[in-house]
Amino acid sequence: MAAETGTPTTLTLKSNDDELFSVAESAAILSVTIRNMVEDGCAGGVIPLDNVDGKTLASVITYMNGISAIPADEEKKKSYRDKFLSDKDFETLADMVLAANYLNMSCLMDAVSAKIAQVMEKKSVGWVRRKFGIENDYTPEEEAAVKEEHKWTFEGVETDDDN
Amino acid sequence: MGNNRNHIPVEIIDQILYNLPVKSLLRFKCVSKSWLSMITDKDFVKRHLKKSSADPRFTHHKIIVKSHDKSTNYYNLGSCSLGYLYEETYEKNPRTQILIDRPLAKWCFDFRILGACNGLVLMFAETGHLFLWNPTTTDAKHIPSVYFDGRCDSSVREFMYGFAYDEANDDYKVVCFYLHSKPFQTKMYSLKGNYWKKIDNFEKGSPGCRSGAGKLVNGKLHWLATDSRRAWGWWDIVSFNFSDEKFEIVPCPRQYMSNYGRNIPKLVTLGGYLGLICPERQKGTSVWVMIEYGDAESWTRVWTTKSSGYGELWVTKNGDIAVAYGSYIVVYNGRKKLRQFRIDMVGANFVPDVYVESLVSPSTH
Repeated sequence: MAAETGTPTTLTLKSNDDELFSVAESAAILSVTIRNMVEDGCAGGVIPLDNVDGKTLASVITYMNGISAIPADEEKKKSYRDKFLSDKDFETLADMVLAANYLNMSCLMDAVSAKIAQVMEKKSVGWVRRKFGIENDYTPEEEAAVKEEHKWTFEGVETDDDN
Repeated sequence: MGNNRNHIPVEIIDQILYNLPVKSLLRFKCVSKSWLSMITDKDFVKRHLKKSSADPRFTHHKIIVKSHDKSTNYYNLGSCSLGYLYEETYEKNPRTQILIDRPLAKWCFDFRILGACNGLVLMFAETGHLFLWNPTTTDAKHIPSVYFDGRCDSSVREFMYGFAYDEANDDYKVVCFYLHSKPFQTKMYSLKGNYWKKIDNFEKGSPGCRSGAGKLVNGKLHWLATDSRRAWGWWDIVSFNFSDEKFEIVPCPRQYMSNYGRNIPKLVTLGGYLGLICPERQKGTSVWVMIEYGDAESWTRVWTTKSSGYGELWVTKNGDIAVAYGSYIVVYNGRKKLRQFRIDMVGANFVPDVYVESLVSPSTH
């Protein structure tokens, strides 16, 4: 990806599995983490992003390019974000929320958190434990007591085979 | 990251939970002890409430409706979505869901709704009991009886109420006037302390018993009261301020200063503003809103209708107004009628109240 003449400054980002990505500085500085590095003059060579893998970083860069191409119109940005996240599964969304947190991108962070909530809304307690890797620390009696208190909230829960 | 996903930090989990509706959150209390403590954390409950209340699409606002079941002689409570009324792509009447575990079922056949605030509903049972109820979580608390001169609150007609959140003290309060005393004796209940205490007598005229429960605007409660210095038919707006526990007169619209006779104006909250529904001299009704709280000049007539029957109103950010007529709710945009809905389970002339789905607990606040 050679820089064309007249194009703005390009940064090179490196994922934790050693993939290299070129991205326009104007798009990359949506990440406060990257912006701080640029402002501190630490963005001369390759910027290593130790907490983000190549697959997730590629997706985040697609988002950076897409959203920064939209002029200041909150409605259009929102519909871009909705469309961008619409086909992502839970695993991808979980990777993205961690990346957005690490890169300090609040707009992506808010959108992905809301999307994860939407995916979880009708899921079972077991599904949530598996997906979030949470160990059940209730005794069976304690869990039954908490469940008994809100029995009706277990109605209309989706079955778990859809992952 | 790959498979190493079981380290989503607590602050991210918190932000995800913040976006979930109450029903899912109650279920996910079962996930683990740390999720239980996150979901019941007071600060989380407050932030979640604030987000739900501020939703411009009213996604989490519900209309509470009451209907009489002839076969059992009990009254049922149901709720239906307020946001649905404002959807342009509506298809049919909103579905009314029966609210389960009605807390009063054990004690009475009938009850009145005296106000709603932050997802809590104040109810008066025909047996004389007062209850605070969260219809979303089904959590309820029985409020101790209030006594004036040895008399207990056995009839809602002898007492007038207002229910509010006192933000400075993070407390829920009920204000009660005893209408058979002169000057009007007044007491206030604190949910935190679970007690009634005497406050200043109400000396700003006579509270209109038909004007209903107090309206909460700007952190203060408001009622209509007849002006005792003038003939019957003149109404003042009286506010109650929680910071100094005093009553004050709030200015009415200037043009409003006319004698209403038997046509009683109605005090409402409209999109967070204080509003007045006034019968017109000829025929019809006009709706006034106080844009700048406390400023008499800022009262603005937002709507006039030829109809003289009116019920509760709500307004969206874009100015669409929903009005309850009989068992119908009609949505207007300025002058034009946009659409109308029939609300299930409701007889004629219901007085619908609106609550927001919240995690606020009346029994543990």
